[in-house]
Amino acid sequence: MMKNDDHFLVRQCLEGNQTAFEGLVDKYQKIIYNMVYRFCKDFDEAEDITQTVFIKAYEKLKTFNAKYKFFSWLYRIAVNESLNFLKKKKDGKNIDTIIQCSEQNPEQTYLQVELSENIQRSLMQLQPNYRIIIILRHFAHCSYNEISEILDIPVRKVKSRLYSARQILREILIQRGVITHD
Amino acid sequence: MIEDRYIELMHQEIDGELSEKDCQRLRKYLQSNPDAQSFYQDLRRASILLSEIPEFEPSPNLKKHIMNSVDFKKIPSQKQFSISFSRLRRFFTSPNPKLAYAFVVGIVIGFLLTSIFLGDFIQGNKIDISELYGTIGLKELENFSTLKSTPIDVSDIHGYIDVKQYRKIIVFKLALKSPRPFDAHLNYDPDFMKFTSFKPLSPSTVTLD
Repeated sequence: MMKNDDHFLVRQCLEGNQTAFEGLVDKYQKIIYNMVYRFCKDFDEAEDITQTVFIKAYEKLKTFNAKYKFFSWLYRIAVNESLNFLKKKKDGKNIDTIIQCSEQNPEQTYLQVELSENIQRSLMQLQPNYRIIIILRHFAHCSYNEISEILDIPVRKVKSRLYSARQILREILIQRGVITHD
Repeated sequence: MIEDRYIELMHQEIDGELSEKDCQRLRKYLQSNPDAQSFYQDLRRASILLSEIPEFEPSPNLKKHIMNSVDFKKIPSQKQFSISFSRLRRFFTSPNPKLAYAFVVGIVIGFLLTSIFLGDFIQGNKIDISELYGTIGLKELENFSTLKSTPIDVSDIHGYIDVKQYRKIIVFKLALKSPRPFDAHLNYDPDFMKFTSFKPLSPSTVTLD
């Protein structure tokens, strides 16, 4: 159903329906934003890259092949833009931290944030090709086949890369003390 | 020491891709291998930690920025047409001296070539024959080859008839003498030959019917 909904919206966009494109933005902006943030760990950059992703998606909409899922195509643009950002980035940036208001007490909030930051830092230690596959699987919740479509690699390579990425991440989390053995 | 095939099963189990049969195989293996059990727990914990990271909300202005940045005047399906049209419009409306020079040179060259190659042809088709003067006739049978020469000796009519040919022209030369007037008839197949003219050597002695 989702595929048909997205394809309907794409067809509407190609006929000049601005509202249809707005619908696609509403549907995917948060996922793309989070995906990109997990990759670059910079809120401002994540917004800029997300904006670029949707602009490019609109400009290239005519090239979209309805044989594939729209979100796979969109995520692919996001992956490419994220990788481009990484190539341009020279030095490491300060880690962005955000405190989300919650009903928890300050200490719990701090611990939660600290844990999230630790995990994010661990993600940033992964090589880009491992990081992106973790993001697609664990944050974008893509299946092996969908990841294969997005990254244009065979499914067996998706599996081997994902498994390797997880194992490396496990090592990093142990080193950081996020995963402990009693 | 953990066997690779069971490591793969662990990952598949985390991804929910494992069959019930393989699930049972894995559980049995984990029960018998503490290192494998610890490794699996670590992988599972990492996966859970990743799933527990909260999603961030983009700023409320992000959508507005996106919609303002997209050029909706260029509808994707018509983009190719508008690109061609705008180039065409720029060609005709924007002054460009280099293009103007090239255009003029092209016109001049085209005119010269046309006049050189077509001039003869045009002139050849427009000869005003009313201004021609002089005598035009066939050359005195020099180029003609004799196909047949028939002597004539009938009653008191003596002479010969030559049939000559040059390309597609056939000439019958009648050289006949008689003390009295006589009629000579030339029969030919009109489907095969076309009579053009008769030229008497002595016009006063010949009447053509």
